[in-house]
Amino acid sequence: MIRKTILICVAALGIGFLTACALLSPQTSFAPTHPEGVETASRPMCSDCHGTEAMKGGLKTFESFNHTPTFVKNHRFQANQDSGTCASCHAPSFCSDCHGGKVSMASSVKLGDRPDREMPHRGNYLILHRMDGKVDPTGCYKCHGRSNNDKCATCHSQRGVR
Amino acid sequence: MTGAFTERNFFAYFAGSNFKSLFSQDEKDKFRAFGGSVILGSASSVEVVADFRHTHRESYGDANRFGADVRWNLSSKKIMSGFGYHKVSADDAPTKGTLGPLYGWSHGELRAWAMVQKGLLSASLDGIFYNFDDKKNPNLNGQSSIYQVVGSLGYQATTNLKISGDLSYGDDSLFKKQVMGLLRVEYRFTSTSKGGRK
Ligand code: HEC
Ligand code: HEC
Ligand code: HEC
Ligand code: HEC
Ligand code: HEC
Repeated sequence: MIRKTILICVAALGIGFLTACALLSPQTSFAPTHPEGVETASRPMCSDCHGTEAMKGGLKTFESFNHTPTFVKNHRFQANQDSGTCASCHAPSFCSDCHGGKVSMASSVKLGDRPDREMPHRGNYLILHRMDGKVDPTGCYKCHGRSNNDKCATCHSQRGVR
Repeated sequence: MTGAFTERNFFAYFAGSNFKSLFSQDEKDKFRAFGGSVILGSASSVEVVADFRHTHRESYGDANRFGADVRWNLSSKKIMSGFGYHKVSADDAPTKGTLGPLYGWSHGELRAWAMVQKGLLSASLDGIFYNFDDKKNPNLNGQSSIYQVVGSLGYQATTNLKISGDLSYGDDSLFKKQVMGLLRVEYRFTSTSKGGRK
C-alpha cells in the first residue's frame, strides 16, 4: 500500500514537472529569427550584448548560451531543450554539416576554409577510423549506423569487417 | 570587451552499459567510459582546453585519450590560430573478427592551424599529423604516419556570396601522396534582411 502511494506521488511529481517545463519554456516568446545579425565567423558570447539577465519567459540567462568551448562540446543539452533558440540563428543546414548523414561530402572538405570550426573528422579519416571505431563505437553511433550506411557497409563487407 | 576573465570548468562524464557494436549486432561487449576537460580563459584571447577520456571494452581492453588544444583570437577574431596535441594510448588488440595476433593501436595526433581575415579576403592553413606506434598493425598497410595540409583562399563577393578555393596535400597508406583542389561557391539564402544568417 505504501509502495503504491509512493508510485502515485512520483507520477504526480512527474506530471507537475512536465507542466512546469511547458510553462517555463521560453520558446513561444522568441522571435523566429535573431533580431541582430550576429557576426557569422565567430562563436558569439551572448552576454557581450545581452548582459547577465534572464531571458524573457525563462529561468535561463543569455549567458548560459555563450558559445564557450564547453557549450560547443555539450550543445546536445541545450539543443534538446531549446531548439527554438538555436533555430533563431542556425538554419538546419548548419547542424547537418556535422550531423548530416544525407550529405556525402566529408565535413572537413566542405568546411576546408574554416579550420577554426569543430569537425567530427579531419584529414583522411579512413585509416584512423579503424582505431577510433574500436576504442569507442558508442560515439560513432550518434551520427552513423542508423541510415546512409551504404558507403560504410559496402567497404566493410568487401573487407570482411562484417 | 575590456579585460579578460578566466573561467574554470570541470566536466565529468560517466556511462556504463551493454553495447551492441555498430555493425555486428550479435556482439555482447561491455563498454565503459569516463572523461573530463578543463577550460582556461574561454572568454579571453587565449583559450586552453585540456581533455581526458578513458574507455574500456571487454573485447579490446582499455584506452586513454588525453591532450590539449590552445586557441588564439587576435584583433577581434580577424586573426585566429590554434595548436593541439593528443595521445591515444591503448591496449594491444586483435583485428576485427580474429583472436590474434595482437597489434598496437596507440597513436599521437598533432594539429596546427591559422586563419586571417582582411577586408573581403580570407586565408587559412590547416595541418594535421598522425603517428602510430605499431607499424606492423595491418590496418596501417606498413605506413606509420599520416598527414594532410589544407590551404584556402576566400573572397566575400557580397554579404551572401563567398567564393573560396582550397588546395590540399596529404600522404597516407590508402591513397599515398595526393594533391586535391576544390573551388567552393557559397550562397546564403536569407528570408530577412537582418539576422538569420547561417
Ligand atoms: C551583437 C550583439 C548580440 C549578440 C552577440 C547576441 N544578441 Fe541576441 N539580441 C541582440 C539584439 C540587439 C536583440 C534585439 C533587442 C532585444 O530584444 O533585446 C536581440 C534579441 C534576442 C532575443 C529575443 C529577445 C526577446 O526577449 O525576445 C533572443 C532570444 C536572443 N537575442 C538570444 C541570443 C542568444 C542566445 C545569443 C548568443 C548565442 C545572442 N542573443 C547573442 C543582440 C545580440
Ligand atoms: C545569436 C545567434 C545564435 C544562437 C541563438 C545560437 N547560435 Fe550557435 N553559433 C552562432 C554563430 C554566429 C556561430 C559561429 C558560426 C561560424 O563559426 O561560422 C555558432 C556556432 C555554433 C556551433 C559550432 C561551433 C564550431 O566551432 O563548429 C554549434 C555546435 C552551435 N553554434 C550550436 C548552437 C545550439 C545547439 C544553439 C541552441 C541551443 C545555438 N547554437 C544558438 C550563433 C548562434
Ligand atoms: C561542429 C559540428 C557540429 C555542429 C555544427 C552541430 N553539432 Fe550537434 N553534435 C556534434 C557532436 C560531435 C555531437 C556528439 C557529442 C557528444 O558526444 O555528446 C553532437 C550531438 C548532438 C545532439 C545529441 C545527439 C545524441 O544522440 O546524443 C543533438 C540533439 C545535437 N547535437 C543537435 C545539434 C543542433 C540542433 C545543431 C545546430 C544548431 C548542431 N547539433 C550542430 C557536432 C555538431
Ligand atoms: C557529429 C557526428 C559524427 C560523429 C560523432 C561521427 N561521425 Fe563519422 N562522419 C560524420 C559526417 C557528417 C561524415 C561525412 C558524411 C559521410 O561521409 O557520410 C562522416 C564520415 C565518416 C567516414 C567517411 C570518411 C571519409 O573520408 O570518407 C567514416 C569512416 C566515419 N565517419 C567513421 C566514424 C567513426 C568510426 C566514428 C566514431 C569514432 C564517427 N565517424 C563519428 C559525422 C560523424
Ligand atoms: C574503405 C573502406 C572502409 C570504409 C568506407 C569504412 N570503413 Fe569502417 N572499417 C574499415 C576497416 C578495414 C576496419 C578495421 C577492421 C579491423 O579491425 O580489422 C574498419 C573498422 C570500423 C569500425 C570498428 C569496428 C570494430 O569493432 O573493430 C567502425 C565502428 C567503423 N569501421 C565504422 C565505419 C563507418 C561508420 C563508416 C562510414 C561512415 C565506415 N566505417 C566506412 C574499412 C572501412
